[in-house]
Amino acid sequence: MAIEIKNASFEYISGNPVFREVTCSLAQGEILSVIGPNGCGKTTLLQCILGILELSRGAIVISAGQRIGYVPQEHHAPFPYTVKEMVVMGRAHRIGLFSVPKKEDEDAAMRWLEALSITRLAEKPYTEISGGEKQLVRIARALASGGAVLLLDEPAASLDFKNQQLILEVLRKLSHEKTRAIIMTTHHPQHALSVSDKVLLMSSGIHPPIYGNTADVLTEENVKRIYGVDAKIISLAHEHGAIKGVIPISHLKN
Amino acid sequence: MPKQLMHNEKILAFFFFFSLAGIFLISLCIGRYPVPFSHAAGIIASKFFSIRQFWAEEEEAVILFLRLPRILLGLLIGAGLGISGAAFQGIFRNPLVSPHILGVAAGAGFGGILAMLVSNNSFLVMVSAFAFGIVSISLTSIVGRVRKTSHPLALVLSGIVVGAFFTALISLLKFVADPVDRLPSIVFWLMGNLAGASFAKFSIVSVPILVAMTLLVLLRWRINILSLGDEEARTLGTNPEKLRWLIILCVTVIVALSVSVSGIIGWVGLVIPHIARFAAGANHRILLPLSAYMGAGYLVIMDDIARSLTPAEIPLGILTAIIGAVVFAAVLKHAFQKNTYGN
Repeated sequence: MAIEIKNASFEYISGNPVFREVTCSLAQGEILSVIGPNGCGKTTLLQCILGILELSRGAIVISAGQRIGYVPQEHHAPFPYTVKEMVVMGRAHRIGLFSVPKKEDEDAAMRWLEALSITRLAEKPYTEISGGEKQLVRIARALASGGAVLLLDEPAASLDFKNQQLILEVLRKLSHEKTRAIIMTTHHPQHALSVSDKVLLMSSGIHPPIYGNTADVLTEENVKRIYGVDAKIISLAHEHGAIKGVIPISHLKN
Repeated sequence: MPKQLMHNEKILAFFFFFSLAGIFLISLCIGRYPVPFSHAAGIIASKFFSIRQFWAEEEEAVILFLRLPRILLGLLIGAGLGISGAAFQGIFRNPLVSPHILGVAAGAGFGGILAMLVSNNSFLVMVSAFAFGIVSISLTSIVGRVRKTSHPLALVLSGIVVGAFFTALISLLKFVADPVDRLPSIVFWLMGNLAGASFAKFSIVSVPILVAMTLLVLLRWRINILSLGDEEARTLGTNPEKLRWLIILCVTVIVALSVSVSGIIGWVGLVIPHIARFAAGANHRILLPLSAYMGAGYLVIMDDIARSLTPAEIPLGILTAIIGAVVFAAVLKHAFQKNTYGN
């Protein structure tokens, strides 16, 4: 297993639980989607996995000696670093405190830019590229920082339709390499349905969260239970295999 | 200079070393008592090689005892303020902060004039200025500490508060100072100048300032990581809190010692990193050494103007502010058009 989360609970000092008894495990090549409404504790769980926050109980075990590559959400970049400079920063853990990146670090950064087909952006300022390109650069940086687990915080948020598909496609490709487990949070049940092997459904009223294979967890009943939204889950035959969708139902007549 | 060359550290160091050497030699010649270039070069060379004297005694005295310590101090302080500004703008993720933002300069300024009120001893002034610089950073860290951590924004805000407090105390001291005997020298000192430079002062401040600068240069690439914000820095394997304090400590040493020998010289630490960023990009790996070089050259040239433009010396801090403001406005205007600071 690349990562195992065992009976993980987090509560504030006041005793208010954020999540309780989260248990899940992922092998290399598997994708887990963490979904749930705002304030359900998705970000807190991510921060616990990253080691920024400490669990109240339970454990998170990452396969020995491995690091987590983290893809944060987009935020304001105060300085116009070039794309290559941004990706090289993913190698920070390999570079001594009083040292600077060497040729091998820059080469590694360029390899990841190439792997994501964005070599052409290398010398462009990060502040001047599009939202989708920025997301790819952050993924390249996380991959450069390496490890058995890739963690993404709402990777498709604030992207247009085309770029959402681009990022999901990149995640699929990365999972096919079978070298790392991928965990992402998302607000789109559709995205969870289309790329993930497993789903963790979180809600502030439901402890422990619902966890299992995507088809078992992402059901019409659970969508209603978590979001309070009536939805249909459909599956259509297609030459690439079955394609699935989550369609919300309006209560107004057309 | 083409941008590609600006990214090569060795070429950059070579270019700036020789341009600083040029500024150094020319500055030795400039002043109310001009010395021919050959004489100035001969006087300096005679300290390393045996050369038969072909210059006047007065020229040697002017160069060795007045101009040389002054220029060396100018290079040191200019470099220190330039690199400090670049480091602070990086760790506080804000291109508008200066090395004085945490209140150290105001605290050291207060300490300096407090000593000037009671004594004429310039070393007491230095000690008091440095001590109050340390007091002010301690106050800033106490005020800015919330739930056992120091958020960068909280630090900047508490630095502004502490700076304002000491600025008010400075006004109070000016108000009570003897207007005939003490006030003029206090005002002149506060405006920032290198007129009091001496080898004794240079030898006291140079070692700690150079040590602090060396540490900043070694940490230069890490500042990139800090500038991404604490959360991202942590996920990239860097402890932001400890690293930030190490950098703040270095800058505090540089700023407090600079104020102790030259008063409060503003604008260098704000303007120089902008010009350097404009020329060579945002990467602190290049930006820090470049800001040191440019700060050194800029301050010495400003001091040349300050001591030779009029018979009475113009306080250096006034010149760096006037010229700094104009240059800064031009650079900002251009940078916004080029969208250097993102959206």
